[in-house]
Amino acid sequence: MIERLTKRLGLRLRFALFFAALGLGGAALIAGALLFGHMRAGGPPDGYVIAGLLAGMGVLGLSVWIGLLFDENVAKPILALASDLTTRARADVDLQIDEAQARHLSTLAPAANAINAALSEARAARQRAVERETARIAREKALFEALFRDLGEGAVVATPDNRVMLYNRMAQDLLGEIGLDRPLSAFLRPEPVMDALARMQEARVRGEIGAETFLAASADGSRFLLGRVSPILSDEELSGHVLIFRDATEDLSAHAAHDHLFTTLMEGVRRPAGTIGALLDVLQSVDDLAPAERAKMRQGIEDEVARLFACLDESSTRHAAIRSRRWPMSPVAATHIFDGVRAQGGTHVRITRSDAMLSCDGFAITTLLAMILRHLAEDGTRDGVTLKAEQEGAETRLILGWQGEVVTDGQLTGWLRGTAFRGVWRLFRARRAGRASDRSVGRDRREWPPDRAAARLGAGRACAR
Amino acid sequence: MSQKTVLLVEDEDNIALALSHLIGRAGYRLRRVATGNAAIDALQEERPDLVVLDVMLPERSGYEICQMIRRDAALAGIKVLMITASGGDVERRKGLAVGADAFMTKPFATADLTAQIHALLAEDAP
Repeated sequence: MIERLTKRLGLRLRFALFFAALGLGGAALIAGALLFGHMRAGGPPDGYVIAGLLAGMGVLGLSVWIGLLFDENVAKPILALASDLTTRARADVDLQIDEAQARHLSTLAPAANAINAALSEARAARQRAVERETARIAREKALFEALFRDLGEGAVVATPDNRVMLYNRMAQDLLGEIGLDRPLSAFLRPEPVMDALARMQEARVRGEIGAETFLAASADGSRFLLGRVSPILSDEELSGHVLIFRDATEDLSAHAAHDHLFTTLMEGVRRPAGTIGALLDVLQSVDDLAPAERAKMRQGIEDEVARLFACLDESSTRHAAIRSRRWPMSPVAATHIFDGVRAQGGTHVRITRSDAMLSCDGFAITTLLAMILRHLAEDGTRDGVTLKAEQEGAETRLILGWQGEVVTDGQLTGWLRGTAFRGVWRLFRARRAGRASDRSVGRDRREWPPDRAAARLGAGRACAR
Repeated sequence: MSQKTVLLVEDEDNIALALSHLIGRAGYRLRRVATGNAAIDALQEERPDLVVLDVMLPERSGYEICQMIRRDAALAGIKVLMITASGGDVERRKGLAVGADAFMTKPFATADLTAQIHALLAEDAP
C-alpha cells in the first residue's frame, strides 16, 4: 500500500514531505539532546526548554525555507521540463525548450533541447520519406492505371473470394456486364477459371509462384477468352489474383475453319484421285475393253480431273477468306497513308483522294511506298508519279503509277533487300492488295504492283461432299 | 463351287465403273447400288458374300449400313469392306468398330483392293 501511495505522490509533494521530515527529525534530535543533557546535569529545566524551543523553531524554519527554494528552483523546473518534453513527443511542435526556466538544473535543459532537436529531425526525415513514398506510389499508380487502361488485353483484379476489385476498359468491352464487387461467375463461365485457380494454389503450395492459363467462355457463351491468372501475394498471403485475357473466339473459329478446310481439301482430293487411279488401272490393264466402255472411262477421268481442279480452286478461295478474317490492328484510312507518304518526301506525287479503309499495318505500308518512291525518283528516268486506291468489292488496291522506265522484279527485290521490308508481303494485308494488275495507262505508263492474277483452275463440281 | 457375289455400294459412277470392271474381272458376280436405302433393299433380296461399302452415301451412311448388317442375324457372316475418302485414323477405327472386316482409304491401288477382296472371300471359303 505504501508502495502504491509513493507511486502516486507528485514530485513537489515528495520534496515537501522530505523537507518536513528533515525539519521534524532535526527538532526531535534537539529535544532529545536537551533532555539527555538536563538528566545528566540536573537543575531547573527552564533554560533547556527555551533553548529547545528556539533550536526547534530554527530548524523547522530553515527546513521550510530551503524546501520552498528547492520547490521553486528544482521541482517546478523539472516538472515544466518534463511537460515540455511530453508535449513535443506527443505533438508536432518544433519550438525550443526555454532553458532559463531550468537554469538551476545544470545541463538538463540543454540535454532536453538536444533530445527535442533529434526528435524533430527524425520526425522531419520520416515526413520526407512518407512524402517521397507517397509520390512514388502516386507515380506508380498513374503508370499502372495507364498501363491497365490501355492494355490490349482484358484485365481483372479479383479478391480471393473471386469478386471484381478492378478492371480495365478492354475487360469491359469483352465482358460487358462486368462491375465492381460482382462475382467472376456473373460474366465468365467459372469452371475453367476455378480450375486454373486451383492449379495456381497447388503450385503455390509447392513453392512455385506463377501464372496458370485458362480458356473460358463468357457467361452468355458468345465469346471464348484465353488468358492467364496470377496470384497477388502480400506478406506471403494470397490477397487476390489478376486475370489477363484476350478474345480467342476468332482464333478458335479460324483454327476450326482451317481444320475443316484441310479435312475437306483432303477428302476432296482423295476421292477424285482414287477414282482416277482406279480408272487408269482398268484402262491400262484391260486390253479387251469395248470402245464405248473405254470412252466412258476416259470421260470419267476427265470429270474427276475437273473435279480435282475445282476442289483446289475452292480450297484456295476459302483459305484466302480465312486468312483475311482476322487482322489484329485497327483499320487505317487510305488518306492517312497518302498523307504519310507526302510527309516522307512524296510531295511530287499526284495523289487521288480515297475514302477506303484498309486492314493493314499503316506504318509499314507508308514506309514501303515512300521507299519505292525514293527509288523511282533516284535515277531521274521516271516522272508523273501518281498514287491512288482502287476498291474492288471487299478488296482495295493501292496503285503507284509513273511515266518512264519499267521497274523489274529484280530491281524491286534489290530495293527491298537489306531493308526492314524482307517480310513485307506478310505485312501487306490490304485485302489481297498484292494481287494488283500490271495494266499500262497509255504509252510508257507503268504501275506497281505487277499482275499476279492466278490462272483459274477448271471449276465444276463442289470440292467435297 | 458357286460364284461368289459382291455387292458394291457406291454413289459415284466413275469409281463404280472402275471397281465394277475390276471385281468382275476378278471372277466375282457383282451387283451395284448407289444409295444407302438401295443397299438395304439389295441385302434383303439377295445375300451377298461381300459388301464393298462406301462410307459417304446418300440417305444412309456406310457406317449405318454396316451396323445394320451386323445386327441382322440373317446377314451374319457377310464380309464388309469399307472404303472412304476420309483419311483420318478415327474413320478407320470407327469403321472397324461398327463391324467392318477391312477398311481402305482413297486413293488406293486397285491391286490392293482386289487382293483385299480375295483375302476376305478366301476367309469365307469352306
